[in-house]
Amino acid sequence: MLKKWRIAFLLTALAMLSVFVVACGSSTGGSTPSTSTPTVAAKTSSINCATGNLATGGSTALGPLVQDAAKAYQAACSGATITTQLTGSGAGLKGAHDGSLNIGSSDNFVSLTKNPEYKDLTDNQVAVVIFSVIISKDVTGVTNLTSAQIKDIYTGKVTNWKQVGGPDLAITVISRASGSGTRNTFEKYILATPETISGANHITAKSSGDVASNVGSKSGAIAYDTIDFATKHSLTTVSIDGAAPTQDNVKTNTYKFWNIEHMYTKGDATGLAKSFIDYVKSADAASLRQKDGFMDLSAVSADAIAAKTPAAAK
Amino acid sequence: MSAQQQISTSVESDERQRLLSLERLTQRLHLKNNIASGILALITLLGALLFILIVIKVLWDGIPYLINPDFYGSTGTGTVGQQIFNTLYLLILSEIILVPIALAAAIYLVEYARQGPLVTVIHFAAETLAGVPSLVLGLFGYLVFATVLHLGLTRLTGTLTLLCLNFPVALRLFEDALTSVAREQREGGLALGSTKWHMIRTVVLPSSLPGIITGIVLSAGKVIAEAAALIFTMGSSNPSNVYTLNPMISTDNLTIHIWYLKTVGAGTIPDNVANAVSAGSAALLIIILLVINIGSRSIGRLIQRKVMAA
Amino acid sequence: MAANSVNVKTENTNTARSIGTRRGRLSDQIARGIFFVCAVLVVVIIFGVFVFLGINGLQMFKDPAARNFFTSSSWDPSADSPSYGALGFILGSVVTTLLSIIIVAPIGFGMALYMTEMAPRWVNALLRPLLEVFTGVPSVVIGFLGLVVLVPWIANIAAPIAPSAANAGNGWAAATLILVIMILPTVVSVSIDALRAVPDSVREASLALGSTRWQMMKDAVLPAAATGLGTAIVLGMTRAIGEALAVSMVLGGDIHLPAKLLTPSVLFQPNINITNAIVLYFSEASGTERNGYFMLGFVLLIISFLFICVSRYIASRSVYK
Repeated sequence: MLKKWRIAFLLTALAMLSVFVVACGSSTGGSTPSTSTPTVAAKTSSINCATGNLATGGSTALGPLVQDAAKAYQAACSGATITTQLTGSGAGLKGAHDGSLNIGSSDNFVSLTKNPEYKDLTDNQVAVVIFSVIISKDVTGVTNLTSAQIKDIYTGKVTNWKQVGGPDLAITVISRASGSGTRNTFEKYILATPETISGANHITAKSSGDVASNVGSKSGAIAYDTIDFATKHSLTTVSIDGAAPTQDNVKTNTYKFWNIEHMYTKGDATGLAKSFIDYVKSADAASLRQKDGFMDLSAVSADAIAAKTPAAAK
Repeated sequence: MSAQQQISTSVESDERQRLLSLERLTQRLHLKNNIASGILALITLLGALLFILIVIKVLWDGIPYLINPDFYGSTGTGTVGQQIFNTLYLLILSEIILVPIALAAAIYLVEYARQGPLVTVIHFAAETLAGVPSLVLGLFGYLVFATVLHLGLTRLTGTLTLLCLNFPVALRLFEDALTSVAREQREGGLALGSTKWHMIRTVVLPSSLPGIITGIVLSAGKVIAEAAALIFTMGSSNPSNVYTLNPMISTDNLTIHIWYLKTVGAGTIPDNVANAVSAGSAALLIIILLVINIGSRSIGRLIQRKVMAA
Repeated sequence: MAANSVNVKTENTNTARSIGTRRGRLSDQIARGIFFVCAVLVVVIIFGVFVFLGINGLQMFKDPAARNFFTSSSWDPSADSPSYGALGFILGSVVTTLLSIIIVAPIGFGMALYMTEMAPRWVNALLRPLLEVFTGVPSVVIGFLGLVVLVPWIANIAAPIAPSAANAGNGWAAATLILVIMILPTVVSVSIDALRAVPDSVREASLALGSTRWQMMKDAVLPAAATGLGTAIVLGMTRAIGEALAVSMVLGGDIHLPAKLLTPSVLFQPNINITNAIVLYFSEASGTERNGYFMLGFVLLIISFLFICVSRYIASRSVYK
């Protein structure tokens, strides 16, 4: 009996010890990607494989691309473990800053006026995302909205679709939380003012996917989401000020509701983080970008990129 | 009571009258009694029906998915193989950390500590900790383990947060188990000249094993059911390969997965698939908890019988 | 088994008594030290929770805009002139907690009375395990059921009086009913313990005086168990105010209180509470707003702490334990 207890204690002690050893061992490799070394073990593709644990997260708009790229990367590089938290752009920046994430993805540039503490973040631009204003199936006859009309809807002045040329139907306004990159882009380039809508006809969706699923199920709904989620859920998109959400209109910045996707790292990206970001940008991942509705940065005119880049980041 | 007083002050001439009124009083009291009993029985019936209907609804919706082996796979969108593994992993890792610590604390409180301010403070602290909402512990875990200790959003951070959550519960269960050991047994051990620690190892722990096992199983139920404390500390997504013992990766579990599919992750997979996965996972969780609650008692009894026999 | 180990022990001591005892004493000391550290760990953890949440939460008041935390119900951190009034969230938590405990208390006491005083044995044999399972039921399971069953059901019933028929199922009404399911098992279990603690002599005395069974329960058992039942209520409220995911899944609100608070329709529209705000917005927040959610967590912590203190106070006054 005595022996059994000793063995039991020894085993638990060993188990605890091993947990902590593994924990300490990989925490240096995991939470600071700088120490994990890229092992140039190129497999089938030209991915410059690195090993270790990588925590990415943030923008739910960029989410599908990061998830697909992570899946492909992990399939090609066996020593890499990549997770993707879909929590919103604001959460991505915060996570990258406080160290709970190695890469924080965001649909917006960091605003140092709003968050001066984020000056430790390094910008890695990976793609261009097209957003669109989407409406429910039961809102018939609306194909174009002016930015003034959209502003009236999102500030609560217009509450019925008949006021903007649609059927006699109450508008259910769907927003995103204030940290959302989609919402920030929407407020900056379409509304030119913060949303002030509130009340019983207004709901806040939790992610890009949640927006799409809400527009699909609620009557008289309007929302903003990436073109990718709109297409995958076969939702109705509308033109804004006469410009349709197409790649051609984005290239010339005729259509304003798009933005640059960023993967921020704390300091310069190294190790697995660098290798993964390079992969997301690379020609290898071009098919993934296309599948998830993103455009290459090079496809967009320099003027258009300049128009989206704040003075501080130039 | 009033009936008795009335009898004691009865007047001969009104005997019949009094008896009649007494009968009426008794009838009224009995009627009241019956009505009250009826209401109580009805309330209990409705309350019981509520819970039974919930169980039936969850099982009815979920079992069609549970009997499909594909449900337990790990490829495709409608599968929960990874989540089941994560739940088990988290369960085992947190028990490995929780049990020795909580048992040690319980041994100190029961065997070593003298009644006094320290014990009162520890008990008060445990009671307060048990009352802290799990979401608040999630915030604490995020703050301390994920950022201050730089563990990030990982299984380990989640486990440590679960330790804070389950510590007071396990402590109380273990304390109960240790106190239940008869005093004569301890004194017998000490009288043979063994040190206290030796006596605890050889006498107290073996005889309180059934109670300890019950405690472990019940805290296991809490680990399996918890989600609020984990969404900020462990994350809600999986890497490609979760079938690893690495505690430094971020994963979800069954409960987080249900929450994720109905909130943040809504729209990332088709709604009917999300509903199917949630319904199946909910049924699985309810079945596990039913088994644990019924099983913990029978396991305890079984071990007790074995201990007694040996 | 115990006897076996004692035998082993005596053999040990006979062979090397002096060395054995010295080594035994040392290991006794070490073991004692380790146990002590583990026991004190509880105190360290709860202390840490208060300190870390408190420090991070209170830091928000460095921002002058956050001074209206306890005086305003306008929470709008992204506005041009941000506002951090948390009264709306606090009101949401208080309303849902109070409504749910008002519903739960009579049902819970009724069930507990029936189960302890009247029920045939098989009823208890069936209900006790069921209640235990539901005491620890995953809140997401109840939240999921709420979303697929409760919310559409409420939406159907309440659509005529709700300001928006599309969202009529979400809100305080749904949250309250979810809380009822979540806390009823706790309240019943604690009440049963309280009623069981009343000694049979109280019942026998009452019955001997000629009371009916209902009089016995009403006039003897319930008053005798009053403190224990009070604890049941307080523990139920502690659970209710801290409940997060299930409630958050059906509330549907964001940061705004409805405009008309004093009409019944307020129960049937997307609404807010403390835990919902933290679940939805904490991970995105930065700066003052982030500290604001820690402050909301700290408020929850203080409220639960007060509840625990109250329940301890009530319990300390009880006659039967």
